[in-house]
Amino acid sequence: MDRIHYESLVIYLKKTILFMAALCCAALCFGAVAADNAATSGTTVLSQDSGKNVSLMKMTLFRSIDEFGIYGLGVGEAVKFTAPKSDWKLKSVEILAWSGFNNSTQSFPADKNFLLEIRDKDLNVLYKFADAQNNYFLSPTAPVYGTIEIPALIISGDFYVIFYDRGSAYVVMENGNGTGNSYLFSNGLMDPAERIIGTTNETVKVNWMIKAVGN
Amino acid sequence: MVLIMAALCLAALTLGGMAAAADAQATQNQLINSYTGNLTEKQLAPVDMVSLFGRIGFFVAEAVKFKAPKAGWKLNQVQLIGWDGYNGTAATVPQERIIALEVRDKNLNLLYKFADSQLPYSNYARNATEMYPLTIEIPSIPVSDDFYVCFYDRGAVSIACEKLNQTSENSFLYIEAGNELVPSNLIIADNQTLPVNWIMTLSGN
Repeated sequence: MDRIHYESLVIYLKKTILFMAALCCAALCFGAVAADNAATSGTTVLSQDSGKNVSLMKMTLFRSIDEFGIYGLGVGEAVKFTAPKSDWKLKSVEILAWSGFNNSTQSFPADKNFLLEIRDKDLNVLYKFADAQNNYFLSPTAPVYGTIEIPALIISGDFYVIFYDRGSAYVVMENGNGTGNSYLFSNGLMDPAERIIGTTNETVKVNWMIKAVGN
Repeated sequence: MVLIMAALCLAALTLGGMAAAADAQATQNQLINSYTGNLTEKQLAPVDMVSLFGRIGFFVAEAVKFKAPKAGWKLNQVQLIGWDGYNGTAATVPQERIIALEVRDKNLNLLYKFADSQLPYSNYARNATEMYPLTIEIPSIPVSDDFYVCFYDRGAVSIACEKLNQTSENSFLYIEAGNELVPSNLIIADNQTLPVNWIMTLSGN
């Protein structure tokens, strides 16, 4: 089973920890705004994070290629959801991520593709869509909930939202308080998304900050 | 007996041929233009959203409202006229970027979405140095009543438009963030606006 190794994340975090604090704070604001909008429009927003106040969450940026190298191109951050009713219509997916826009130089990274998949409980593909990251996660200050709208997809029971970042964007994960619904998907297999804490060698589950929106 | 068999075969072939011809006629594609008149007589100008709006232009699409000729009409191809900046010199060979296309119903609900590199579609790949037809084939999408085709150039391709004297009734700018249409009146110098019509042709049956 592949695991998210703490040590490699620490190296990254040392470089970015101050920046991260600001990023996460701003991202939470964006997230709160997005959730409010959805609630007022009568849609249902499903999330599988801890449900804690986002300002209290410990969050880290993650890219699969940083963890798995070239093989990371085929690794997706996956979250299992349950449709709130039969024939529920999934209409969009919100992912907290960041394309790496440099606000000081006002430059944004070259277009790179990500891939989104919706799969049913048996992992059959229901929908597949690829696009460039800058069109969803081009925030000048912080990770942002990028909304990927999809044609209404009728779903019943459990389903998976899988985001293959392909190195195009940093996906935000909630460290700890894992609900057991976040996975890494590769080669048809769902492995629990976990990380190993270096100091204690403890394995903790993480949550991808991914939401499913529909009605 | 042989003659009867031959006659039967001939009849079957004739009937088959007629049926095939009828099918072909039934599925013959119909073209719908966003404009009237002859394109060759129009003065077209290339416009891209990122040049107009900066970073926000990534989330703004050239949108055209069409009316389906009949209920359940199947849209299967969208053609615009675009220019990726290539003028024949090595310096203008375009970098790969991603464009996107959406089909939305009259209430702006998303019916279909597609994103791809601009290169297979734009003029560079055809060794053309000027505006060139940019054709995107899509799976048949049934549409009824009014519907919208939205194209996100994202700065990768400039899209041809014609200048109008008054606000277009069927060309818009689609703002993704607010799921909103605004008139396709481009802001030019001195706070003046220029109404334009996006050049788009649909094919379906």
